[in-house]
Amino acid sequence: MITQEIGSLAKPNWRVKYLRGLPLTDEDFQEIKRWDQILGTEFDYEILKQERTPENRKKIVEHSALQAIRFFETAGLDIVFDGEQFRTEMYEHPVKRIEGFEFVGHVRSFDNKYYRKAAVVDKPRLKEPYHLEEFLFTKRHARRKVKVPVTGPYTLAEWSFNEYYMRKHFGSEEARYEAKKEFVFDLAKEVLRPNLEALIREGAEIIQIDEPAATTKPDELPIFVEAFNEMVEGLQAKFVMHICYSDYSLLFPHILEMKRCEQFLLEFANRDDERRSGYQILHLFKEYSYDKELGLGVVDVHSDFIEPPELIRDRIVYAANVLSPEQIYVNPDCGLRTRTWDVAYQKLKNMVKGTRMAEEALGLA
Amino acid sequence: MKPTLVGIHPRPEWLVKLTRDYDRGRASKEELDEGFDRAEEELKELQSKWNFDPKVDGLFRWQDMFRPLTEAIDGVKAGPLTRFFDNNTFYRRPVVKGLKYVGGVPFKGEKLILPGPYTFYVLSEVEMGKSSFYQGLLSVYKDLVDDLRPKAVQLNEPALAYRYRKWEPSEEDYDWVATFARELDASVHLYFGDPSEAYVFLAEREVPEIGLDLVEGPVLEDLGVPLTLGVVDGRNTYMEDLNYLVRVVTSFQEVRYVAPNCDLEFLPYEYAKRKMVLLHALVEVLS
Repeated sequence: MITQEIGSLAKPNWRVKYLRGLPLTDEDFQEIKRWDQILGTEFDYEILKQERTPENRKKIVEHSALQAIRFFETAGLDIVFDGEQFRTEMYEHPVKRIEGFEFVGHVRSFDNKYYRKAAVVDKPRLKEPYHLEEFLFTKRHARRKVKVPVTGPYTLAEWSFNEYYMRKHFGSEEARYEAKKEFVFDLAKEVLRPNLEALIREGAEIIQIDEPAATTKPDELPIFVEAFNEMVEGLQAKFVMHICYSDYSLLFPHILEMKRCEQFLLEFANRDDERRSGYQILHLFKEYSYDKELGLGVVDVHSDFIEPPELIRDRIVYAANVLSPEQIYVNPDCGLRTRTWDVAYQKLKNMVKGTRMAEEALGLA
Repeated sequence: MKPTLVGIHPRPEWLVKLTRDYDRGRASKEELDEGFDRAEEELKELQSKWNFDPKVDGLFRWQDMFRPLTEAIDGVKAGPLTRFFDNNTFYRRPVVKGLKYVGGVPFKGEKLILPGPYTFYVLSEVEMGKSSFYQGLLSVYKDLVDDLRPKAVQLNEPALAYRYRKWEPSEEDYDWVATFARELDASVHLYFGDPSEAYVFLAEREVPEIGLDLVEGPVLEDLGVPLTLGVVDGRNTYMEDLNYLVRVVTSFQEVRYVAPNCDLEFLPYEYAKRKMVLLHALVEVLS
């Protein structure tokens, strides 16, 4: 069974402080050295004491990305990326690089977690492909297969305030639907597709479209599906999709129309208990004869609880018995950015260990 | 007619930073509490300036619709992170095994805003019978109101109007919502979808006051119940045309308040202020 990362890792303190112009403490130096030792990476620590020039800042970002790549590899994962170390986060990074958006301030996602939200005030246009630098860096350094995550058009639209298209379509429920549809399709055609084409030209083989907002408005699922189909039509790569913290029952039957999506990577562990409640929804996948790959979330990314390998094994075995072992890929629920590297590392190591135990239990070893 | 706020207010940018610093160990609990105090005072001043009534404290200390309320109830625990209706906002799904008020809900406003009983029920994992749940929660809310002595109480019931609801409220559910409203002398605010069906059911049951989302729902028939009209969109920075708002409000008879359709926490703080200014202007024009 293949194990894979799914998205972001926390930015190390030494990186955050350096880029923000804050003084680094002894603990920060110890942190970077400790992880270099664990991961077998090297760095010229003098840079951390030097003037924060654009060249040095770039070296800092690249080193955190290199550590993140090795982090996943050393934990034992088969498919890796750079923990999104080149990005602020999955929404702000792309939106900053698209004309037609204006950032308007922070809104809360949950608890004390927020994101900077933008309003679309004009027709969106891509300034330049925005994932190439990180992809080429990862491709150059990774020793395992690379998968590049890209935030999808529906999520970019759903997470933005819609002013431009509302001005065109204000009023009825139907008008609001049109305003959303036009927004999503403009993003899919004018922004996302050129990005995907650029990545594929540079050798990207697996592209993960992140659409956590997919089920937010159930009557808009056809927009989400059609926009995906149009965005990837004729492109030569393996497309997979990550969705999380959603009611997956709403995905059916719509996702059966997404012929080019070969895998859905979903969060389950967050909602699990000893009765395997979090994985019951897989019976619905079975009912719909879902025969694609499934990226099975087995690690909760919002808790410091280190899932023991036995628990991970049980989750995988359960899922493999509902679907089939050949369909299962193993991953965390979502990006691990809210956990410390120490916690994330233990979780991933146990995830790999649990996968090997599941293979044994299923007679695949 | 006055403008009023109906839910969680967005945190100002400086408070966003402070709460993040607190999470990262860069600010103390004392500093955080001082920050919440300051935000509450600032919002009260804005409400005074623009004649909002009754005033709310902004619920800046609340992490979602249920917390810290659930921490003040013995037998309720915060469960998994779950999407909050059709928003890019998440809440901890309450797991309810018992219902005993033990105190500790922060409240510094005039109007106390609580999750309506039906919304509480459908958004939770309830490990008891429905009637026991409603009875237990009513007793908790009565104790809470005795404890906090608010000038007004509002029960938020998005689950009764939600556009995409997969649940169907029964007559019994409406009876209970109306019982809560009457016994607590509370208004019931209906939002995140078309409120027309729930509006009719609650008006029949003589609920003291009803709040309607007129952004998501159609303009409705006046049923003679005192109303709060949710006319500005709390989920989009797009600013409504004042003349359009005047036309909507003047089609009703007994309008007590005009309001955002929902919490303003889905907007950045500065845009929430603009929506408050718009509501103030609307009342000025109408008076």
